[in-house]
Amino acid sequence: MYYFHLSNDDKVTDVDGTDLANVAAARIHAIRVARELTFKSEGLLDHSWAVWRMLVHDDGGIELFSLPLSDFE
Amino acid sequence: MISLLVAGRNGDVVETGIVGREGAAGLHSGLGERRSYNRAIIQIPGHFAVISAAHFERAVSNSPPLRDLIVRYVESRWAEAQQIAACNALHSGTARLCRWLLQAADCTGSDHVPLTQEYLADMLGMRRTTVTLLAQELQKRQAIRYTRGRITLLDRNMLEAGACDCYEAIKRENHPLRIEVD
Repeated sequence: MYYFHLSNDDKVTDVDGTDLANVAAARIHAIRVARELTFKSEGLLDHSWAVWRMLVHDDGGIELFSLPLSDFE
Repeated sequence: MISLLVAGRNGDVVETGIVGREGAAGLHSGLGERRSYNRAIIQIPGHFAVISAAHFERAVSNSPPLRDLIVRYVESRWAEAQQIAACNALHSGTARLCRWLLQAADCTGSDHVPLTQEYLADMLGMRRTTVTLLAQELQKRQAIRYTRGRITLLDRNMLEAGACDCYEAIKRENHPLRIEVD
């Protein structure tokens, strides 16, 4: 399972996770989710996408990689 | 609540309309033999009245007001499908999620929507992760509360403010099935 959290000063937690084959699949999934989140949207919780990062964790809570959401605006 | 779905070749589906207590699915069969261009599934259980297509067509053929009602209802469904297509192309995930939750609450007459985020993601054509994160945003704002398999609308005003104008447009077009009988 992989967990796709959003973080700046605030946190938006992916509580459920997604079952994916490997880290490469998690990266593709992260990019697709980032695109869906930022589509026609200026930000989240009144903060622009410029300050948000997506942090991808594994089952053990280890951060595997992160993506700046500003890359997808 | 019934969802009207269009499926792609790879099995992905997207919702093009919602039928609740104000309406009916398959009504156009009263106009005679018709092709169906979508799938209808019961998304939220409830009490449904059922009539066979043959009986219904016979009833419609004997009643011009009923026929007129069906034509007007089918027009409103068509308008809804067009509005949802535009919504999916033009509006953010948050706006679409707010719209959908309000529509579901209106259809069922309840602020409790017994639906998993997985189903909701399918209906909105988004990934479940995206719906989870957007639902978390709405929960942080106290617009909704969600637990596994159930979303509760807490603040309709906030959801209406967050929804795109498609929600009002669809509400305007929705003609409840009602007929004046002399």
